[in-house]
Amino acid sequence: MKNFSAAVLPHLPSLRRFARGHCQDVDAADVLVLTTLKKLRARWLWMAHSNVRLSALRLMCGLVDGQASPTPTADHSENYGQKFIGPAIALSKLAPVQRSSILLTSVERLPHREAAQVLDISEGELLRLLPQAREQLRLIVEAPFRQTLIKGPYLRRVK
Amino acid sequence: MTIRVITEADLQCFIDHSLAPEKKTEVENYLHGDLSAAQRVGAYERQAEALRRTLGPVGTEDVPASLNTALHSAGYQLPRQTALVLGVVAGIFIGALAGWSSRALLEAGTSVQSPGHLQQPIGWSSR
Repeated sequence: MKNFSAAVLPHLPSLRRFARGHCQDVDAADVLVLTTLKKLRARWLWMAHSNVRLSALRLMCGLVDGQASPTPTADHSENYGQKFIGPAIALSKLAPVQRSSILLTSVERLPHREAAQVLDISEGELLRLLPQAREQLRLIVEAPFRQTLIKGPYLRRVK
Repeated sequence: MTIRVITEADLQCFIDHSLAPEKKTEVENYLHGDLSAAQRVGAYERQAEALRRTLGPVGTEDVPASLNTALHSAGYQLPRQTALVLGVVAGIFIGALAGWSSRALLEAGTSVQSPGHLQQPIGWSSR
C-alpha cells in the first residue's frame, strides 16, 4: 500500500491548476483542493490500483458540479463596457461540466478516454459535449467584438 | 479517390492532437477548403492556448503551506494506527468474553468429569 502523501504530492500542482480553472479566487481554489484531498484520503484504502490523478480530478469534478452555477460577478465586465474578456472569466460563465471538459482536454491535456473517465461519461458523450463547450466559450470571448461590429455600420448609416 | 466525411468529433480531436497522422492530413486539407471551419478551429486553438498561458503558471507555483501540512498530517499512518488500536481492544474484549463464558463450563465440567473419569477405565477394561 502506497503512502498517501507521497502518492498525491506529484499531482498537487496539476490539481491546483484544475481548481484555479474553476475558481479564480486563489483561496477558494485551494479549499477545493483541500476538500478533494480529504475525500480522496477517506477512499484511499479501497483504491489501491486506480490512477491517483484521475481519481482526484474525478472527485473534484463531483465537488464542482455540486456548487452553485456560474459566479454572478462575471457580468459586471460586460455592463461596464470592458472590451476584453479574459479566458478565465469567460470560462467561469460556462456550466461546470463544460468548464471541466475544456480544462481537462486543453489545459490538463488528458487523452479523450481519460477525460471522459474523469467526467464519468462515455468518450462519445465527451465528443458531443466538447464542441458545445468550446463554441460557447468562443461566443463569450468574441461577444464584445461582435457588438462593436454590429454597432459600426449602424452608426455610419445614421450619420 | 473517396473523400471521407470530416465530423465535428474529428475537428475536436484535431484541436487536441489526438488524430492519426493520415486523418490529420485529411482534416488539414478539409480546413484549407472551408474558411468558416478553419476560423472556428483557429479560435478554439487560441482559446486553449490562452487558457494554458493563464493557468500554466499555477502548476509551477509553490504549494501553500496549508495544503502541504494537510497532506502530510493526512497520511496513511492515521488509519493504520486506528485499526491497530481497534484490533487490540477487540482482541481483549473477545478474550475476556471467551474466558468469562468458558468459566461456567469449566466449573460444570470439573463436577461432571469426576464420575466420567471413573467410568472410563471400567468401559475400557470391559472391552
